[in-house]
Amino acid sequence: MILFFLWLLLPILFPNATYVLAAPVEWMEALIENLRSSTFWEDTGSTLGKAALAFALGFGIGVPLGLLLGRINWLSDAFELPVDFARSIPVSALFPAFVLWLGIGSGSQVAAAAFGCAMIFVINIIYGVRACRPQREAYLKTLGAGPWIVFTKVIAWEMSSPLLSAARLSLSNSLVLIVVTEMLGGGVGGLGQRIQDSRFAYRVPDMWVAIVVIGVIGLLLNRIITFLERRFIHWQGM
Amino acid sequence: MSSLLDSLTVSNLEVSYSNGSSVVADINFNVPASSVGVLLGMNGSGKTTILNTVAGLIKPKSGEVLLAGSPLSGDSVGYLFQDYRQTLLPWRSNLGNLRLPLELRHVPVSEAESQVRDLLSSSEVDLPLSKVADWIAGFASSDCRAFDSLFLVALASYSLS
Repeated sequence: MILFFLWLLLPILFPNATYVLAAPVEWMEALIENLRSSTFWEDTGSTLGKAALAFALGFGIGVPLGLLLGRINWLSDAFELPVDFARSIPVSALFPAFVLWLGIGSGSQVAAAAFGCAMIFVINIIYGVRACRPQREAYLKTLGAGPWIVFTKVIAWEMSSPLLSAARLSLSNSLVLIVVTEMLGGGVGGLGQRIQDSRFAYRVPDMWVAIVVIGVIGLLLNRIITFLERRFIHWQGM
Repeated sequence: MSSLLDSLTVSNLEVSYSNGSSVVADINFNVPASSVGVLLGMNGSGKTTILNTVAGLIKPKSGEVLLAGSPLSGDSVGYLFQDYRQTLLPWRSNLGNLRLPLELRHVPVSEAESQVRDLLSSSEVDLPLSKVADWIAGFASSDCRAFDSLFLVALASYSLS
């Protein structure tokens, strides 16, 4: 609330600051104008769509890979170093390689963000699977359960907590990476590109509209995951 | 309850580590039906290894475990683990844990639950299951978990009949 009032007073107290921060009236005008324009919705949809696709790809690649590496010892021995190495590289540093491979545009942006998400899933699932209580698996075996039953009745449940943590990290990460790669000059729209374009044109209110929209999206995604966590892993603690 | 009436025979059992060195060897014993046997030994002498083998968790290097003359199948042993409290599945309710063995034998849920309730009502321990049945096992008291575990062992044998 205090921040809001400071913001209202901003143009009076520090007129020069409006080069950096948008003044309230202008920002509201820009917001309404943006909400009315179709390009704004196209850009928002494009960023969201790419982030969702990257998240889905990262999930699809990372979870099975994490399961394999977490369960099969010789595989994890062989791949521990490469995986640790790969996840240590900032995805933004790899982005140029993705551009050379897939060209400028959505493809390389999604691939880079998907790589980042996959790494998060792999690491979390590996440690999640390794942390499974061996007694529970042994117990199911004495009841005659095969590997598939052990997976569905025990491992999938034990994994659910690290899986949701990874999902939370991946969701915000995919949004960050998509926006960053859009700003790096993907050249095909999106909120990141919109921020860059507004900045170069000194349309500070427009820039802040895009930034705030990204913030709101991130907040909503986080709330969804928190809800899922409370809904599905309420049994935690034993 | 036929399984409880037949004797358990362990003959010439040898269990080894994956590198080939022996953990226990030349183990022979017979537990007659309806009797209680005790396995005594020093710390680290292999009691748990032997029991894990009997329960089918470890494949012996040689020798065999027989129940009433035929090899023990995976699901015919009730085994109370040393750290039995860890074996309950905390995401399931107490009742959900108790009917798990039946579920794994493809008994429909409703039937499994009524079997569990029947057996509970005939047990000497007075557990107010109607009250705690739907509680999540992860938050159950340790006594309650101990009871669940013991009951499961009984159930494993009982449901064979």
